[in-house]
Amino acid sequence: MNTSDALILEFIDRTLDPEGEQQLFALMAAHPEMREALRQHISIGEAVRADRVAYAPPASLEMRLFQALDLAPAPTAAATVAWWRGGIGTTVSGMVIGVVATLLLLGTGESERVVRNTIEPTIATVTTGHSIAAAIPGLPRATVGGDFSSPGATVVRSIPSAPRVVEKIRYIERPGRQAASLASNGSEPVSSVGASAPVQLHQTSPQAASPSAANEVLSVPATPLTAVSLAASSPLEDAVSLRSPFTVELRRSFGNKDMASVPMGNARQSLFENTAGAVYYNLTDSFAVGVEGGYERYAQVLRPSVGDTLMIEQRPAYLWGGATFRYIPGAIPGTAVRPLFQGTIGATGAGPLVRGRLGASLALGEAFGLNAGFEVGTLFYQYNGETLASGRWGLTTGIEFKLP
Amino acid sequence: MLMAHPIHQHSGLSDEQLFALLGEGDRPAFVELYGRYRSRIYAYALRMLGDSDRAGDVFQETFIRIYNVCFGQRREIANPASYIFRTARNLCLNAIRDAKPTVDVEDFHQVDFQPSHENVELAELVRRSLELLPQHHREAFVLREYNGLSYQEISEVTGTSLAAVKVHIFRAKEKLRRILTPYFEEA
Repeated sequence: MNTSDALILEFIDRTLDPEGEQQLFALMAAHPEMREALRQHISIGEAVRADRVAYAPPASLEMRLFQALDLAPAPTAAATVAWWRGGIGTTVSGMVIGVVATLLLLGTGESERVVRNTIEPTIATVTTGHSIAAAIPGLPRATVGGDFSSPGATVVRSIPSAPRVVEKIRYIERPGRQAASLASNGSEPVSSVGASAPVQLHQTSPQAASPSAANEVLSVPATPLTAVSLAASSPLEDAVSLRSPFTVELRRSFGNKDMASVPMGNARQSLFENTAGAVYYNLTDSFAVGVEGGYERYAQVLRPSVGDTLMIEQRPAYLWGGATFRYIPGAIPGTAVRPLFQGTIGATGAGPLVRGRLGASLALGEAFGLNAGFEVGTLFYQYNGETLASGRWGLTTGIEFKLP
Repeated sequence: MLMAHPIHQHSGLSDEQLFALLGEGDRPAFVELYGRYRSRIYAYALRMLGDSDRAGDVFQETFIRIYNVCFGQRREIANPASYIFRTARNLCLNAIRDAKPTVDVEDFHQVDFQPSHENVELAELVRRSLELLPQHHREAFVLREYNGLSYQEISEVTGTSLAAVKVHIFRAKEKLRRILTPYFEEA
């Protein structure tokens, strides 16, 4: 390499001292071919710098490498980065749809449900045309009679010897009917009344009074009622619950699927994986809040360099916990099954998570129940300054106990 | 096989720290190192060999060797970049020895070089011209101009002196200019 070439290359390399630069400039002033050589070297350098793009290795090559090293394969599809935008929306919209569907199923209140834990529960259903004797247990048959197609409404309240249970029977008015007369043995006859007047039944003779019970008459205005029936129920069901407002639930999910871009290998699962437990405080019969926690895996997709083809997936297992709320409205008509909606906000060691559950609950007694449903969970985590999300869904089954 | 530790825990570590973790059997440390050097090693192999298949083999073998040598073995790696590139270089040299001879400069001009209106861009020409350079010149040029290694790092990778590295790079540049002179004259 001659002196002029060396001077040019050192000048381009920024290693030429000031004296050498002066010498180079003098030579280039006298020799145009040196100036051309400098321009060519500069062009080559610019072309090389423009060509310094990252030569990402092919995905198939990387997969072979990772398989050879027995590491998790690098996926090629798009990561779950954008999935989180639909994850929360799916969970929330599913719950909204479920609530709306439940309201539609339950209708607009054509049937009146028995309200639990009331002070005055009903023990019998009485509709017009039936003998009162058939409806009021313990009432002497001699005290009843007559036609009950009464336009009026009469409430007969019988207080048995057990002071905790209060029995109430309510007549349903049929508009346009003649007034009925009720006669009880030893009682003054009930006066006939019109459609808008109450029907009274009262007892004045002490001999007719039951030695173990006292009858009271409560007159109520004859208010037209729509078809309302009070279902017969046992005093035990209608009695004020003796159990605490806490419910404990244990559940397990199965058939879990990761929202990963490629199928993940099935890691060995421990006994406690995909299990969860919760303690709820029942604010009402339908609404409860509480805490829950569990142990499960989430697929994570990581990109070491943005825009690169390398994506690394992993499925670490996490303990998670959080606050939850649960809404279980009334039973689906014709069944004993109640819809279940649940939402949870919690966290793991990697970041926050949100969960939603749609399902059904079946009470198998006062203190025990089963539930099943569909559950979605989303974990948020950060990597390389990016906030990423990982999702999973699956079916769940659980058992729950009301604490005594 | 499942990685037990989330990757993001290693993103802030230096290359030396990652090698130390790799020596302790930390697989995510290897994955982090791989993520940092995968493109550079693949580009180096591709430019050294000029063939994507052979470059892929060298690329794969480079990381397999690093993993097998360093995983679970406590080693002092003073300059991780030089170590990785040196591994790749040795494999490239083996591949070059097994490869067919390259095209002569005159043949290149007669067969591949076309009039200006059919020429590919200068960058593509430079890449193709690299194949005509002697291996030690091409290697030094690629490490310097494409991979951005310093003269000292190139010296460590190639095992040659600093002065020799500079000479190799200068000679590579000069030969490239002479190879590409017809292109410049047409332009």
